Amino acid sequence: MDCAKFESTLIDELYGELDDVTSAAARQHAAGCATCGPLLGGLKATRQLAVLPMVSPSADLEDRILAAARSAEKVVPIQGRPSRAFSWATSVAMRPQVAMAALFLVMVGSGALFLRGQSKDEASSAAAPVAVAIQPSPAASAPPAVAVLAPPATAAAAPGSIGGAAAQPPTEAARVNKDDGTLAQNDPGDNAGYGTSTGHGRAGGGGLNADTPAAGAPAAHYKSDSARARSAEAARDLSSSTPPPPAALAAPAASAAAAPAFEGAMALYRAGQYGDAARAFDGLAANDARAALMAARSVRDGNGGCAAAVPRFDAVLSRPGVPGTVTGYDATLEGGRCLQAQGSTDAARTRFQSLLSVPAYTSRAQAELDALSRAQGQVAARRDEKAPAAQPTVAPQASPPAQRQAPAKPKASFNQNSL
Amino acid sequence: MTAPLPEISDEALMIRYQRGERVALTLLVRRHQTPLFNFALRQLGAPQQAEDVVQEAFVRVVQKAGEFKHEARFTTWVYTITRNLCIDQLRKRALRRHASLDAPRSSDEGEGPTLGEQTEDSRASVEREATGNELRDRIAKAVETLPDDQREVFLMREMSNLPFKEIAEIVGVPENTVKSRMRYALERLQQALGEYEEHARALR
Repeated sequence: MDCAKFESTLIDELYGELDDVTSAAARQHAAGCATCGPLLGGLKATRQLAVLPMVSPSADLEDRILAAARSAEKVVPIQGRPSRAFSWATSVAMRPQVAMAALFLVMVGSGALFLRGQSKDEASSAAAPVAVAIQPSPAASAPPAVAVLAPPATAAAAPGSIGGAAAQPPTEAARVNKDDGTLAQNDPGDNAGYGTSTGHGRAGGGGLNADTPAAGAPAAHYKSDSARARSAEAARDLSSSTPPPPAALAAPAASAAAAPAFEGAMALYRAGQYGDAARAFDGLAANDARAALMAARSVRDGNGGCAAAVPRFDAVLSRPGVPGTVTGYDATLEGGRCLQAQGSTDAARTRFQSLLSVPAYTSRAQAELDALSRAQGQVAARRDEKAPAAQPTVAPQASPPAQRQAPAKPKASFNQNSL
Repeated sequence: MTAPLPEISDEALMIRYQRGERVALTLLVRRHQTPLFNFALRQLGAPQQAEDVVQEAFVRVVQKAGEFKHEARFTTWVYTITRNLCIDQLRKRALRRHASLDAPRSSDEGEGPTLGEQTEDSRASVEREATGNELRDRIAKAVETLPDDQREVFLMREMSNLPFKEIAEIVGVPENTVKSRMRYALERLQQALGEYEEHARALR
């Protein structure tokens, strides 16, 4: 150690704050240095000399201090201080276990945002029906994809009632979503968008739409506006040659007991045994509008054809509580198609037009109206070709422009209460 | 089993006081009132003012008890409070144009004996035996005449045994600055007490 180094460690050496090695080096240098040795010795002597005696304060100082402290405590009690509570909370919050638990909750919570849940309105209604849309892929090779969103009270009955499709149990994520009903209701675009994309992913291109009474309208609206044109269901709706799959079922929670029978009838229907399916559905139709709708479809697709199916579709619509539901809309649409096939264009047009105000059905109804107008135009053209030349001034219009392009009402919504 | 109160640290006592144990505050007062009083006394030179400062320091401890974190050192906190209160007193005194630190200390009511004279009665017998009256007065006078920044470092180190690192936190300067001030203070005292150096060496 040289003098400069010793200078920098002088005070530490004087007060014993050096480590043993450095202190030994400092003492060794001081012992052999004519400058540093006397310097260290002089300061040590001064330290020993300049000792100030400890003066005792007044005997009552402690009492006065404690009395003043009690007065201060009365102003702000020690136990009641918000800052104390904050200090305790921060000391707890900074523990690693708490941090890990918080991280876990954040992960679970953020995961719940990606699961479609149910709205508060659905959750608050114990009798809320399960609305399911089953749309098989056009190739009919992929199994129909089904998504179910049901209130916890009805979720147990849902799996059987929809024909063996796996219903999601009321998971933690579903409960989180139930509490956060605004996600499903106030942000229909995201919610419907997620549901649609998930459906496509699971169904291999087939349409999937799982509608709940509250969230169904925006979800269907999204599908009809953006994804429907490229979906297989659009092709199915516009083509009468493809056997129409079941479109939508409204399942009351009370139908749990009839679920196996319903599934059996659905199996017959899927197998193309329409006669047997019609009889099976008729057996369930007394208390189940969905079964009545499926019976009408079975009759339509079987030997009865549209002539026998139209009265059945009308019968479904005449049931109490059905109008304004998915079952009712499907009966209206499919009944209108049958009427169109039978040549009852006015009655068909009336039915299609009644669906223009339903977002989930707007594009489908408009497509039917357009097809109806085209068909009428072709009939008129053929009539003109056959008409005598003596009547050149007659130029029949296929339909008024207003009828061809019926204004849509995209913002109309479901009557949720009726669902 | 919890440790008896006299054996636990200042910080643990403070935490107990935060939980509502008033006896913890009592023990903290007993531990620190005398060193704090001496620090304030050597800074202010007036025993009554020094006691008022110590009392006010503990009142502030009570008022801010909720903000105390167990990671902090209690001595750092309470000495910072006491130092600030002393500075406030010295500023008020300067504004009133009372005696400077070099002049004979004034008591609360006016001019009076020096600090050494004031404290003579309580320690007279011990000091008389150790260094004698003359040396005692010279030491007290030498410390009083130190610059404020050097004196406070000297007092906290020599009388309160606070480490330099903690003194640096209290004063708010780097630790090396504290050590430099300490060395300057010792050199000043050495110069002022040079004639007694032989006596000091004889004490070793």
